[in-house]
Amino acid sequence: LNAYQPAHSYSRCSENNMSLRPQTPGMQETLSKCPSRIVHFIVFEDCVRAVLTYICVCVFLVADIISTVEFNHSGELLATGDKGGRVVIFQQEPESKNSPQCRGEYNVYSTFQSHEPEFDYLKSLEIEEKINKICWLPQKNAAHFLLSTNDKTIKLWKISERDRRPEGYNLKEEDGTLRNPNSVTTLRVPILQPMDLMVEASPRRVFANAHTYHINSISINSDNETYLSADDLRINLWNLEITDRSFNIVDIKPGNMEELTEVITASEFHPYQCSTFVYSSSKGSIRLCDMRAAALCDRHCKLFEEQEDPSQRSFFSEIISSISDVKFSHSGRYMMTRDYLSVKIWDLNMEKHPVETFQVHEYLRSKLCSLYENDCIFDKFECCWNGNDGVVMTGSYNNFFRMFECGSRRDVTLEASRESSKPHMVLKPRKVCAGGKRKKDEITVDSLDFSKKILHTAWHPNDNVIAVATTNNLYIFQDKVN
Amino acid sequence: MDVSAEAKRIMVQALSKMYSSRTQRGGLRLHRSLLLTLVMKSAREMYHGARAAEGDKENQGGRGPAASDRRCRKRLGQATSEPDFLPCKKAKMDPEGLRRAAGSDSRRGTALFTRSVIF
Repeated sequence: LNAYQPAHSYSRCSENNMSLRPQTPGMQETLSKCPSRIVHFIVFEDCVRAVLTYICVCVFLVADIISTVEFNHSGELLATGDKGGRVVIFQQEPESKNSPQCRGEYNVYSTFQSHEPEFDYLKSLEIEEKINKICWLPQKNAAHFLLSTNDKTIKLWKISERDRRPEGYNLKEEDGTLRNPNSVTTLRVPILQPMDLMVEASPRRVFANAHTYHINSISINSDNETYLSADDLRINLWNLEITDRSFNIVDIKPGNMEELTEVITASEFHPYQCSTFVYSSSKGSIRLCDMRAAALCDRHCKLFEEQEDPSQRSFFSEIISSISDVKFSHSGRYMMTRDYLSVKIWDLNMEKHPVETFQVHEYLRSKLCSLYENDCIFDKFECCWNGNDGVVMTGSYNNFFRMFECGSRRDVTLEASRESSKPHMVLKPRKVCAGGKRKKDEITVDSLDFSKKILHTAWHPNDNVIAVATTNNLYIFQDKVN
Repeated sequence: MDVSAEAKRIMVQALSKMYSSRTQRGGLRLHRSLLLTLVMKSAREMYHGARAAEGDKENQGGRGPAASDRRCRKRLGQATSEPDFLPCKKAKMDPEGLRRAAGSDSRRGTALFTRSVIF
């Protein structure tokens, strides 16, 4: 068992579903706060080993560059946002009798235009329609709700199904033309008849005009009533029902902008503590705040920062230490941060340094100057946890993405490309040759394609199904079932 | 010399990136502008440090400390008024040079330029 993870205990599962979820001491408490999550337990004789072998299930060619990917809370739906302001939702196919183990089959469920380009006349600036983030709301009824945001405006969308329509009106025909009232001799009650399934997306709320700077994160609170939105200098708290007001809970704008030294890069609410949230900065620090302490959470409760290694200092130290993503673990005990070269796992109880650091592509450290020239050094990679917080995943260049098993040395580099990811093909682990003699099947650093980057990845909350977005394709992989 | 040449190249690139981000869709990105400013500041310090060290090495022969101080001061003053890492103001045949010349005021130095970038 891992040194820093809480001791696992398992109970026998009587269900047919094979998804694994260890029961931790804190888990029971978590479950009671999240009644909508379905959890299954399974018995193991020996230690759980994370699954790092994956097969390709399906690939989607997308119209525009994908800018965000999110599974909903059950994993049944997968939403992607793109640069053109569109949201595409995929739905998991129900397990068919022929291939009960194939959980990774997803098909397009709904597509809608979430944001349009706008113009700020006061500043003479165009506001991009690119979707920066999507956040699913936990499901409360038959409809699905999600928040999507561009640089300035957040919208709440309702996605609902319609599979029946009323037929047999008295005053109009089936095609909608009005009937002559004089020709009506009998009355009938319209009845609901089945129709082809139609999925409708409608905007229910628009939360606008609250951000001077560009929104980088939105995060729903576990109380299901509020959510936060963060831009470069401020974080606002909203109520889902109220669109004309928001509370500012963090403001790091200096009085004199020339004194600006850091900006907010990402923010997230704790998975079950409704008063706790974190935000990361461009300086590589993470601040944990408690909304019960003060109305304005400018003073952090905890500051997570690792001292920089002076031997690694370079011109680009500030750029590569900027955190591009922060994610709480499902258990709420840990959080993960991503900077340009590494992924760090932090224990919320320890601020001095992370409990674990994974080097994603250390071989790029000597190439920082070229990466600065071609702008790649500014790329913002995201990261994600798997369902049981045992494995983390993040993207890299050359369409590579990496998985790291927490608490062990196991990691794998996989590639999402049309050649190596044909449906049902097992993904072969890749290796980058950092220096010296190149072995067979290894790729040299100089032959990496830096235009092929994987910035966005997502992991199914319960199953080992992952979604990986390259520039123009969305890949869905699932674990290789024995 | 390598350090100062690299520092100069980084500063020039930072400036051109900041110039081009003005015409980008969505407006200036504060985070990106901040990072470029920080890179430019550290490159500038490195550049001046390297130039000063180079100057000291030349002076090691006959001159005393007072004279080298004076020379250092003079050099710093020179740097502020005639920064050689900023785009040249002279009209050039290529449109790139013309565009820069139209948009820059090299005498004001990088500090003021940075001020105008962050809003």
